[in-house]
Amino acid sequence: MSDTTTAPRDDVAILVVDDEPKNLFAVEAVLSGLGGTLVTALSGREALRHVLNRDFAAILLDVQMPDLDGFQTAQIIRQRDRCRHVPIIFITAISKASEHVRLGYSLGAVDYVFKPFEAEILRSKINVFMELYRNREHVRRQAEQLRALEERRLAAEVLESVRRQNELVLNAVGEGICGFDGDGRVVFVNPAACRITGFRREELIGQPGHALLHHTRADGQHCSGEDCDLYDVMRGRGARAIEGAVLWRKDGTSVPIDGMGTLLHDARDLVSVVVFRDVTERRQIEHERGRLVRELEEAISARDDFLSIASHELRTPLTPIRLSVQSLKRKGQSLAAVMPKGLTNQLETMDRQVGRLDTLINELLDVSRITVGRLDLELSEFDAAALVREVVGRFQQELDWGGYKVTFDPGGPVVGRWDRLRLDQVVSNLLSNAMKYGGERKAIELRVGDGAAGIEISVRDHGAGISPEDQERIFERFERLISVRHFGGFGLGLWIVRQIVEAHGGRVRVHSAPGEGSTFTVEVPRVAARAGTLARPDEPTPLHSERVRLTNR
Amino acid sequence: METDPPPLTRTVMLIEDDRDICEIVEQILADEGYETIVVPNGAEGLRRLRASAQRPFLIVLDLMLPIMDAWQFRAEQTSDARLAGIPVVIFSANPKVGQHADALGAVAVIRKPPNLDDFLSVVGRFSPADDGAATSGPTSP
Repeated sequence: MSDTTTAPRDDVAILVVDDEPKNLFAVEAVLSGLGGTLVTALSGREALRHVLNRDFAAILLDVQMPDLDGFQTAQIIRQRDRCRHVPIIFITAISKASEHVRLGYSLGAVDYVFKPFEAEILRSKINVFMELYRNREHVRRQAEQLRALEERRLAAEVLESVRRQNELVLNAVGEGICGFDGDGRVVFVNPAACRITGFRREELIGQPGHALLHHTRADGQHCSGEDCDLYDVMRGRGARAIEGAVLWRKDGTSVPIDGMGTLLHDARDLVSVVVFRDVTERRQIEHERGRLVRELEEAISARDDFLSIASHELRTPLTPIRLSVQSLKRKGQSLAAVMPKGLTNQLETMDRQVGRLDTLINELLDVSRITVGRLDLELSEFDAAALVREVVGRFQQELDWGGYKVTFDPGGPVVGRWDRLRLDQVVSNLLSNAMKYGGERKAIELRVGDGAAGIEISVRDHGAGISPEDQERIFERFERLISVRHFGGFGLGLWIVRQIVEAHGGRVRVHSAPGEGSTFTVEVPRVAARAGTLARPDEPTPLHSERVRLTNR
Repeated sequence: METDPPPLTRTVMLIEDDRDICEIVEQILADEGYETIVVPNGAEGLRRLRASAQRPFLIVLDLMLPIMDAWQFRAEQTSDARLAGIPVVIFSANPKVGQHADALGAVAVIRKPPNLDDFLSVVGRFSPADDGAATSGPTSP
C-alpha cells in the first residue's frame, strides 16, 4: 500500500503522509519531476515506521488524520534523535490556517502548505529541501572522505615508523642477518652481514647466496652446494643451527661463522632468514686456550717427571748414609762402655736428620701424586693398634728428648685392610704435629678403637689449640698454624693426612678451642672403601661441613 | 773375620751400580755373617751366576742399571731354569718401586733409603736358617 516510488531512484527521499489516497496521488503528481524517492504513508503510524527505516530530506504531513493526527505524529518524530532536524511541512486546509499554523510552528514545523495547494509552490518548496539535503549529504560525504584520508595518512605514518624501527634494530644488531627467497637468492641483508662478508648491500641483493658466500663445511671440505645444510636453509628446506661454517668474503679471504637458519612461513617473498656471527676471534681464543692447556699439562707433567727423578736422585745418596749411620749406631751400642757419649749423640742426630730428609722427599712426591689423583693404595691386613705403637716407638727418642709424655692404651688389636705405609704416614704426621704444637703441657694422648663408620685413631695434645678460623685452613696445602720462622716443613702434613684418609674412604676432623688443646680424629672404614681413587683436591669434602659445624659451636 | 768360610747358602748377590751403596751393603751383610757377591749391572750378575758354583739364596736388585737393567736381567734369569728359582728383592729409590717389583715378580721390596733393621729383616726372611750360623750381631774385629 505504501512505499510507492514514482521518481527515478535517488538518494534523496521525501515522505508524504495523508489519510486520503487521492491527496497522495495529487502530491505525487506534483513532485514527480523533482527526482529522488517519494515515500507515501496513509497514517501517522505508518509514517513513523518509515522514519525508523531511513532518512528523509523532508516530510509532508497532513494535519487532519484519524487516530494519530499530524501534530501528534510530528511530536513523536521529533523525539527521535535521528529525525530531530528533518524539515516537516504541514498540509492543512486554508480555513484552519490561523489556529494550525501557530501550533505547527511550536512543534517545529518549518513550513505550511494550504489545501488546495498550488503545484508550483509545493514543488519549489520541496525542491529547496531536497537541494538542502543533497548539499548536506555532499558535505557529510566529503567530511567522511577527508576523515578516511586522514586515517590512511596516519596508518601510513605508523607503518613507516614501525618499518624504521625494524630497520634500526636490524642495523643495530651485531649479528649478520640475511633473508632468502625460495631459490636461495638474497632478499635483504643488514649492515652487519655486509660488514662480515665484505660485500655491499646491492652486491648481495638478488644474488644466489650459497654460491656467493659459502666456502667451506665444518669438516673443512669445500662446499659445492650439494647436500649442504646451509644451502638447504637458504632455500627454505629446513631450519638448522650452523656451526663451524666458513664464508667467502668479497676480497677472497674467508671468515668462520656460527649461526642459525630459521624458516618463515607467512612472508611472501622471504622463505628463510640466516642470523650469523663472525667467530674468528672466538676461534682464536679457543685455539689459544687449547694451547695454554696443553702447555700447562706439559708443565705439570714436566714437574712431576722432575720430582720423580729428583726424589730418586736424592734418596740414592741417603741410602749409604742411613745404612752407615745405623750400622755405626748399632756397633756403638754394643761398645757403649768405651764409646764417647758425644759420638752416640751425633750418630743419633745424623740418623734423625736423614729421616727428616727422607720425609721431606716423600712429601714432595706426594704433592705431585695427589694433585694428579694418583695416590695408589696398597691394601693389606694389619693391626692399626700395632701400627700406632710402632710409630710411637719410632718417635720415642724424640718424644723423650722433648720431654713429652705419651699415653697410649689400645686395649686390643684393631684389624682391617688399609695401606700400611700411608696409615703410618697419617699417624706420624699427626704425632709430629702434636709435638710441634703441643705447648708447655707436654702430654699427648693417642687412642685407637671402633668408630661410628669403622675405626678411629685420635691424637690429642694440650697446646694452644686452634681457633675456628684456623681450623678451616689447616688441612689445605702449604698452610701452617704458626709462621715459617717458628716451624719448618712444607706445610703439607695435615693436607697429606686428609688426602690419604679420604683416599681410604674416611675423613679427618679436628676438635679444638683456643687454650684447650686439639684432638685430631681420623675415621676410616675397616676396609678402605676407595682404594686408589682420590677426590679432586678442589672438590668440597665431607670434612668441610664438619668444619663449619665446629666453627658454629 | 770368620775363620771358617760361610756355607754357600749364606751368600747374597747385590746387583747395584752405586759404589758407596755396594760397600755399605757388603759391610752390613758381612757384619751379619753373610757373604755378598757385588756386581755393577745385570749382565755381570748373570755371568757370575752362570760361571760360579756359588749359588746365592737371594738377589738384591736395583732397578736402574747400566748395560743390563732389572727388566732385562729378570727376563734372562727367569728363562734360565738353573737360575729362575733364586728369589729377587727389588732395592730402589724409584717412586713406583712397588708396581715395578710386582711386574718383575719380585718377592719383596726394599725402598731406598732403608732402615738397617728393615733391610736385614728382609734378607733374613730368605736366609736358610739351617746351621745356626745366621746368628746376628757384628763379627769380632
